[in-house]
Amino acid sequence: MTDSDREQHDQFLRFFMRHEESLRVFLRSLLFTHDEQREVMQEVAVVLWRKFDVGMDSQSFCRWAFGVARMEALAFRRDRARDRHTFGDEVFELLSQTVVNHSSSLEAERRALDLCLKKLPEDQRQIIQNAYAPGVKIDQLANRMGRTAMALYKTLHRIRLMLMDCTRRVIATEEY
Amino acid sequence: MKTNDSHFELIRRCCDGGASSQDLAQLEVSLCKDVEFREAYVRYVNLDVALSNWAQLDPMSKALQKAPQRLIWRPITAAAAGLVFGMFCTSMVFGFVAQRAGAVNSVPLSVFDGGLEDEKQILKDGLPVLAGQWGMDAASIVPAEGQVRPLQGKSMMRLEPIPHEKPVKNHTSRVYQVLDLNSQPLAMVNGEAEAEITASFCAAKSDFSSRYLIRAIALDEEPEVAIKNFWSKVESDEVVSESQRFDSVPEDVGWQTFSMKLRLPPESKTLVLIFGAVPPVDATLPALVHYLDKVQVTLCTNRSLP
Repeated sequence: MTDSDREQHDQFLRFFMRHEESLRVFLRSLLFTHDEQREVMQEVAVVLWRKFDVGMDSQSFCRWAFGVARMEALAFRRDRARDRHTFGDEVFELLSQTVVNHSSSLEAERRALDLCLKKLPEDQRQIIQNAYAPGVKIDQLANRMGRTAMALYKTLHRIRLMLMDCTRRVIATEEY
Repeated sequence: MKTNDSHFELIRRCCDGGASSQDLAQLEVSLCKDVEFREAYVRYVNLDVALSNWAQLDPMSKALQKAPQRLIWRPITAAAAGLVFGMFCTSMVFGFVAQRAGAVNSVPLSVFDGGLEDEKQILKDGLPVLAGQWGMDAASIVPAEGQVRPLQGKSMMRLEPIPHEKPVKNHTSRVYQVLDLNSQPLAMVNGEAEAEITASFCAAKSDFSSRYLIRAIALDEEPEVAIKNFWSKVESDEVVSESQRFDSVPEDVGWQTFSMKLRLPPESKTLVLIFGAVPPVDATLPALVHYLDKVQVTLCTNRSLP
């Protein structure tokens, strides 16, 4: 690796790391399963690395990266998604703006989540652990738990809402 | 928007992948027209992504997590900084770099090309001669077969059973991958690291128990040198190697995911990975077809990024 390659690599790494979580959230907002989001995120990362221009600053990288993410999500949903529903341009724009504009508060919520998860009753934490483990299918997990998939989805939803309330409280009270 | 708002039920259906076309249309309208709804949707998605990352941490990392820290990177991997190479996920492989106390960070790497999604890929018999190439004893890349669908992407590896009567030393049906560690940004994780190898296996029939193998061998030679006389080197005490077998029982239906770790000395230049389906000890039991998909290698280190 030459010095120039290394410089390009390091610069890319700095920018990518700075915006990666926002990109991930943006993609998840456009795609309706974790597997889809992970798969598209890989493609986005590859495209960004291949086409990265070392002359970019962080802001232009961010704009460009969100554009790439949008195109990759569009392509994925067009070619692969079962429902074929694709958002209009306005939604893409509004969602990317929301994610970028709220990146600090979203990051604060992610940090506060660690504390909220610790406060969660053990059985609920275990449900989250099991449901979000890689490769887990909710219907199979529900079956093992002797519940219906819908009941498990609802339980997960209630826990997520509790965690959202918790993270907001934690940030508001500066407990975090 | 408060969390008891009924709009959250629409968000849930969409995020859980159970939304109807009407739901998605409604979601789009609400995202366009309602700022509060849009912000709530993004918050919900943000939490969902964070929970997914959290669930992938191992128990030790969770215990080590310190909540009240600011300006830290949020963890993704088992133990601190890591590089993740998703080998089967797409036709191009990429990597992650992450730190213990911090955000999920990743960098794509043109490491392997032609993952399992490349239909034209030729599997080499035995150990591959090139880094990034797949080698195999008896295997092929296939799309969905019968009830078995690829865990990720459109293709998976089909591991053919090796008949007991075949005169070979080892009847485990194995596939091999050689990882060139020099092509990874190991400078970013300068120092000793740990590799975590994760792979998912599935039996064509779940009537019998199955046994799977994951093996990793680290060598201090470049790949092209390392793979010469490879099997004799593996026996050497100087080679760092780890092998684990994993069992599934007949009621384990569908894909089973297993992982193991290997300490990587700083001088490691090549990582050889072996994945296999072990035939039943009882020769009267049928040797089954198995499938392999969604392989990942995570390089973890306690060193901070520069």
